[in-house]
Amino acid sequence: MVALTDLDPRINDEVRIKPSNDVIEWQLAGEGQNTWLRGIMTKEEVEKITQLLTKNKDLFAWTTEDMRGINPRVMSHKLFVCREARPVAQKKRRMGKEKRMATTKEVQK
Amino acid sequence: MYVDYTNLNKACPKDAYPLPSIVHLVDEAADNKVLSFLDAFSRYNQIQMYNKDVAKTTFITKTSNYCYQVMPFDLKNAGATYQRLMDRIFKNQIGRNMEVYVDGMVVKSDTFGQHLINLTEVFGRLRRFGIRLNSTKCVFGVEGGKLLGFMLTHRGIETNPDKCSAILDM
Repeated sequence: MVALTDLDPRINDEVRIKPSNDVIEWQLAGEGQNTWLRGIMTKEEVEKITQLLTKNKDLFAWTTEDMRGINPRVMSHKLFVCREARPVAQKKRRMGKEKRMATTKEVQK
Repeated sequence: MYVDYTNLNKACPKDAYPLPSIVHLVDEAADNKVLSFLDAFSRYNQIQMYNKDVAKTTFITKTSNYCYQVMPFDLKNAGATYQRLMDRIFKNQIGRNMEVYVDGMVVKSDTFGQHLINLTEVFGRLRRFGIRLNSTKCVFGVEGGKLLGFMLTHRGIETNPDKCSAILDM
């Protein structure tokens, strides 16, 4: 029998590769709205790239409200369903009380 | 939230639109001195469902029935649709100053100055088509030579540390 640890030697290993330290976090907009820059850059380079990013910060989204969405005339997702397929109703989705209350709250927004 | 679309997916033939291979992307980008990695925000949900297909995504809950107006994450051909969109948006840039894999973009340049120009071009297209980025998953201006190590460490590709340490130590 093959032990699971033979197939995946990491199984009990908490050590994971961390991001290499040659990048730095940089605050683009509000608190927590950060992005990453290369760590080793000249002062001038940092200035130029941060200027460019700040100028374009409207291109970044932090919540779904920030998203404009793609104009459906450019692209929409069309389903090509086999002609012989019959419609199937999805099974009713059951949720626990806590989850249900959370979704109700979200839906009413 | 995830809806189980097994039945719907079974009824849809696979979209054969080609996705680029990772090997090709790494090859294409690795030669460049300056790279930026951009990641689209909440990827598939930026694309709407075709109007007449909205009803096919219906799911039932205790209080109401809902359907998706935007492309849900777990439809079989969602990745192909996204790649098709990105290929269309960046058709004049792919291969020249960027590469695209579904919702991930790599902007590549030989010099820092050129990189600023290339980024400006990409930002212009993103703005024109209404694509938004996820800032926490973007990295700007990294060294080209570190591409593979970067892909392994920053892009969340789970790897066996023993196996890739050789590459990372290069």
